[in-house]
Amino acid sequence: MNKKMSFLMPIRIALVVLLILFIIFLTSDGKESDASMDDVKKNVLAQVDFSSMEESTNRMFKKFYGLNAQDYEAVVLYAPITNMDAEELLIVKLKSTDQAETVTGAIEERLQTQKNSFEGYGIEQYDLLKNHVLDVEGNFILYVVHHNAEQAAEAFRKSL
Amino acid sequence: MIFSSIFFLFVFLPITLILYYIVPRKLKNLMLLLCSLIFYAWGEPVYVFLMLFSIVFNYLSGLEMNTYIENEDEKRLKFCFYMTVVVNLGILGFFKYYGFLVENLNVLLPFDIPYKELPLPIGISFYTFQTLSYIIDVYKGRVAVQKNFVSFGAYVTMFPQLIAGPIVRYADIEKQLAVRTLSWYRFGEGVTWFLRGLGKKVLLANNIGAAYEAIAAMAVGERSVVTAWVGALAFAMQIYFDFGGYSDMAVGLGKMFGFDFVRNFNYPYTAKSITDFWRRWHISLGTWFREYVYIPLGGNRVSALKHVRNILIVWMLTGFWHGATWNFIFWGLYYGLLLILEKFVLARFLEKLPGIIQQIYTFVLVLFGWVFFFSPTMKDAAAYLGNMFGINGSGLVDSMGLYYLAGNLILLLICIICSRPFPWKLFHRATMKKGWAPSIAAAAFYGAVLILSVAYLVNATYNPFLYFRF
Repeated sequence: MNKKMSFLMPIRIALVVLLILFIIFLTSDGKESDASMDDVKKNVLAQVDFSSMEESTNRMFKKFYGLNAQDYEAVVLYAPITNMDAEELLIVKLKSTDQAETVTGAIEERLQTQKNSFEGYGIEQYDLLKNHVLDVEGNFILYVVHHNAEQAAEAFRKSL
Repeated sequence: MIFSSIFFLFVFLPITLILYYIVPRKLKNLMLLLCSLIFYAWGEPVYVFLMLFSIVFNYLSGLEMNTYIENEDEKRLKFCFYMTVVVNLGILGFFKYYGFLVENLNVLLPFDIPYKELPLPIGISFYTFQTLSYIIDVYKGRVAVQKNFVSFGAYVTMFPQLIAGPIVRYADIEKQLAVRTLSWYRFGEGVTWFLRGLGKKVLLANNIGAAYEAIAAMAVGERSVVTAWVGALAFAMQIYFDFGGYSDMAVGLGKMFGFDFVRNFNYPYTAKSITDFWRRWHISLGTWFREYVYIPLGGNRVSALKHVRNILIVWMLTGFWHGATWNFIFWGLYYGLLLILEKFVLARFLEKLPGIIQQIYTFVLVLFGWVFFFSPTMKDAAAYLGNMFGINGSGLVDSMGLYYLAGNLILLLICIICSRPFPWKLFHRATMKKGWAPSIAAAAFYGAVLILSVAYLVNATYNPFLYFRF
């Protein structure tokens, strides 16, 4: 009997090496941040004119996103005062990064609902929604619908 | 992508079915593989590479083991087998348990090990167990090696059962990968399975789940005994109709594509003992652990002490499979201990009791089990269980408790009735009679389920299946 090592073994070992490189790539960015929610909120709000928004309760967070604020480390939500505005700011500090997908999924749903509401008659609001920023940075998530969304996102990233 | 989404129902599924049915027979597995990869990549654009790795690596491992089997090279066969198992479990361990391990080490060590917890790749626990079933069965000589890469890829990625089971063992599907029958009858049967599952998820699980979530979000001191029991009952129904609904949809989709998957649930809340419950709940997971852990450890054909050890190992692993928290481990061990207790002490007493008492005994113990399952930490579980017995809560009954009970009573009753076999038996008997009228009635019923489900989905917020996180 031919009892040589199969030529497949080196290929499989090479695959495992590739896998290890893939894992290193995945773990190399988006480290978790120890920044406090208060600091992040302060920095982001400095970039956003929130006169048309008001800070909302956990109940509103549940109503808009279908999520329980208690499941997360901290949640800040600024929602429009009237239904005629689309501006919105949400910052979530996750307990664990594996919650990110649930939160971004909920944000996408909320965005779609808002787009459906304004499509056809609220051109300005619809444009704001189209130019929203959704940014996931490790254990922090920012969602902002605002004229200064990009500046807010930059302040968000700097404060982590 | 989730089954209960408008995009899946009205875009992905119809296009996939059309493509699948128009391509020649020998290209059907390839089409299924490609569509499944798109399905997975839709939600996991990065982790699709991890799954591709799993397919290629395990496919090559099967071929390599086959070479050693043919060459009667026992030593290399063993090495190849163990290396493959270690790599598969290593991937699962890293993505699912690494954070848990480091967190616990950080508690014990005087310094902190820095780590970044990665999001869990959807379905990793399910497809890893599927590929392991293939590798173990090839090693043991129970199945022939799969030489066709496309067929093997289609087995691992098959989108109907990819992300939340049932865990289809390779041995159960080997022949169907090569030859399967497509017929209008089978397709229609698949559609009805799918719609029943969709209705269970969207109409029952999501609605009763809202009651559970509201109660779970309450502070410990605000929950009365009635509120706590309504919450636990609502969760029991939510998880059954959510996961059971998903499994029905998977079975239905399988049939539309010509496959027969194993049934994953068999009216678990009618079980007359905990042993019976686990023969009816998540059947494919129980079968996997029995075949690949319990029996290789010696099963019950060993001394009583080793038998107890085997049960505890299997149930600790079953708990741990569900998630990297102490709650799940405790939840698994809770069932391990109950099964040991039933096997050695309670069985002879239980069987003398009336059937309904046996069912109540089982259901109440399962409810306590769900508290460990749904609570974020052991401390929360203890607090919730305390509330169920009036400890630290707001008395036996309060206005909130009555509000939740009255507001959900009808839905709870519908859920309880639908969790028993008789409504289905009656419906099946009535609609399978000869003539047009029963068929029209069945079509009207399924049409109504679809319309109502879509109506709910249009306005729904993101609502993934509970078992996606495993």
